[in-house]
Amino acid sequence: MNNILDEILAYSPKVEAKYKESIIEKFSQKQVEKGGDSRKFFNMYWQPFAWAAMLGFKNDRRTPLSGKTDPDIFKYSVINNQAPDILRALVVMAVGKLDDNENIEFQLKRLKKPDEIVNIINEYANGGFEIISRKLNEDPDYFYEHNKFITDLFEN
Amino acid sequence: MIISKARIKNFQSYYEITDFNLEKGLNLFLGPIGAGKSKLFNAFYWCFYDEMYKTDYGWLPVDSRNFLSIFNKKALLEADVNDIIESCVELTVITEDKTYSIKNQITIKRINSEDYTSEKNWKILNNGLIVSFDNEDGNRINLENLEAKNYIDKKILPKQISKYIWFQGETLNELIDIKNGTTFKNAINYISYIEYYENNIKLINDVIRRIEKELRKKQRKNTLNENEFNRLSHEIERLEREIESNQYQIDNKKIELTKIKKTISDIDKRLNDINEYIDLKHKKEKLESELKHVFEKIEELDKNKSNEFSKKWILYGTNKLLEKGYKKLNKFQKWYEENQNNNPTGLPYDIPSPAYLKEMLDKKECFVCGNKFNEGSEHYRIIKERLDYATGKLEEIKNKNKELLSLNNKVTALLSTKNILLNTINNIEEYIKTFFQKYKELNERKKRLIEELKNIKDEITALQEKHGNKMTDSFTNEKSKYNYNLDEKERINSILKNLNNEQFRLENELMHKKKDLNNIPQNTSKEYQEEKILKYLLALKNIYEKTRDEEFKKLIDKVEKKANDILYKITRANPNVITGKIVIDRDTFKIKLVDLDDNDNRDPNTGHTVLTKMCIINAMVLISNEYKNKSYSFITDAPTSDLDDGTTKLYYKIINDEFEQSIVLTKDLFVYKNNKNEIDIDSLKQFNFNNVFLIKKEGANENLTESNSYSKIEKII
Repeated sequence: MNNILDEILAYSPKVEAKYKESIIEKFSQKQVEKGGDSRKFFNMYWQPFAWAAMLGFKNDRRTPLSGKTDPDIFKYSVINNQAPDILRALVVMAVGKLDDNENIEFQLKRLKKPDEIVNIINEYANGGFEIISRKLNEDPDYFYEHNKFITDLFEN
Repeated sequence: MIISKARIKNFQSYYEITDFNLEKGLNLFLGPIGAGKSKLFNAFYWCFYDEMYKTDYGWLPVDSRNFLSIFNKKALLEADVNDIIESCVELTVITEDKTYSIKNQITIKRINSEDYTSEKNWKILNNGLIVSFDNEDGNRINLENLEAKNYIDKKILPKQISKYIWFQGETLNELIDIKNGTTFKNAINYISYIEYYENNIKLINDVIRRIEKELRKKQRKNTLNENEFNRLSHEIERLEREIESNQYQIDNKKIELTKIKKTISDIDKRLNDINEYIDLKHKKEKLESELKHVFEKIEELDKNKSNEFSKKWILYGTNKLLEKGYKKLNKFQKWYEENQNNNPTGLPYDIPSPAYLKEMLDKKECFVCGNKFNEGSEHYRIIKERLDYATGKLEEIKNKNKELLSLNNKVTALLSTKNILLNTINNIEEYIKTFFQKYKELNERKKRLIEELKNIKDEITALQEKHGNKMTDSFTNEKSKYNYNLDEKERINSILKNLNNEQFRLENELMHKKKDLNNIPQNTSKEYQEEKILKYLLALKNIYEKTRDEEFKKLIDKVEKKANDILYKITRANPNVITGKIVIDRDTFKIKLVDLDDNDNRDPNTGHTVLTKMCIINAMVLISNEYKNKSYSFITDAPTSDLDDGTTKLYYKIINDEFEQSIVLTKDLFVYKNNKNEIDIDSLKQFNFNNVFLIKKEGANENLTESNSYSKIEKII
């Protein structure tokens, strides 16, 4: 395969179990839940993850994962199917975050496999989850008052 | 006269006790639909006149069949068996010489736990109207019921004129119908001494008839033609009886006609209400369907919002991060291009190519120097080593290049996303703006529709409360009643016309007979005392008639002038109102609003007509006050519904300036902003309205009903 965007499809992001429970599950409607709590803003698990990753990148908050993680929450192929632009952006932003202290050949070789890119995305998403978690502590209705976090989107 | 204090207890929408003070000048009570304005008007009226307003019937006395209409529903609902409830209205009234307390009250007891809204389940313990005041000697006088009523009528506010001083906007047409001169003429009679003159003229006529009878008795004795005299005398008496009887019939038919006109006007109002009700129902259905559509659109946008947010919007603001990523990818690509053939020796690894070297070894000839060589020779060794090196290195290079190529392909693949991605991001802001603009527009439309729907529902409820739930069922019935009464009106008008013609004929005949009688010669020329008295009486009658006519003319001139003064004050200060002048036709008493150049071909709209009527009524009341040297509190409920905001305020300003005290109940000074009805207090202060009250419903958070809510009065300025 000569395309990292194809290689990454079989990979799954890693999410700390606490964030899966307190953010992803809480604010996403599973398919089976359709017709359940319609106040849940997100329809699928990848959506809060993508939001967290974007927040992490934009706030330059990279936090290594610790504690229990869920290794197979969903596959990147789901993001690619639903929102290919988001997957492209995450990968390109992750490339931008490769360590500039390493020489260029070394950095380039990190593209051999998607592991390093996936890891970067995971860690920035983890940083984003920290931000969301803090927001939720300050305001439990953060995701219900939809315009609040959409407003945040513009502010960040 | 001013009303200085009011206490209302368990009266209609007022639960328990409500106290408030009233001042001289304008007292403005503002309240939205259904807040309790008309109930407050009812409270004043009931306290003074012991009557309740019932739609389609007018003012009715309160008795054992309808006394519960006085009581607050919540108070009734909360009462247990044997509980006693008092409903009362108490007003303190100050006139030029006394301070009165006027109190009307009913106390009832619940006698069983059955339907609390039925009179049969309650017993009246006591009720009555009391007027209390200190007399000149300082003793407290208490007058009750009929005595109290008569006292109010004679000394405080005559009931006959109260209908022009205390009126509801909806009855304005009954008071002054500008196309029917009789209403204006009646009004002038009520507020002036004209009626007093008319009564005196009637009295004089009666005395004249009696004296003429006496005179005829004396003249009979002295006549030269007794037979003819007797015949004519009998004829005259017969004609007088007929005239009297005919007049009685005319008066009765007039009363009948007035009643029929009132019935027609009431049915007309009901039919208008029914038509309005049907219209409102259609509007309601249309609005509900529109609202449903807007809700669906909003729901659809909400769903889209979640998807659009996750699929696109979150990319907002990532340009720099992406550019950094693409910059790095460009660096990779550049490095690759620079290093794909990198040879540390500076010589190409494949020159000569391994195939060329192999051919040299096979042919044992160096193609570079042209020398032949043998296997095992130095040449052979060098070429063989060169071949081995090139073959190995090339493999190594090939492998390395393969890896770099693969990586470069990945870099190229990622770089190929650049234009699409950055283009998407550049459009996101515009896209989000458009999305939220649409969202905002839909939500504003939703709010507008909800508010319109609420207003229409309120109007429907008000009409249902007024006419009951089965309004449309009664449409056919009402229409046939209306037609029947129109026919009746026609019939009575025709009878009246005949009666009037007959009266004219009889009076003419009477005049001739009297003349004939006077022409019968007498035995002796003698002047009877009755003839002298008759001369004086006729002179007196003449004076009364002249005074009445002059008074009437003067009053109409004054009313017209005053009405135009008021109109001018309103139109001068409000450039958006078309100017004009009010003209009262001196023959028909019809009222017209004409252009300042006297062009009377105008087709005035409802607002102009209402303004004209109010100018006339105010002028009449003010002139009556001045004329009789009295001042009455002017109370009006919803008079300005058909006027614009500026005209309404200017009209209130005139009331404020002209009347010693006025009490106005209105819903017209609210402005709709921030999704609710608000009072523009600054604007009211600009007009120097210093006594402004807000009437509002309290008691339930939603779905207000008569039995779970009540009216509250709060002074806001």
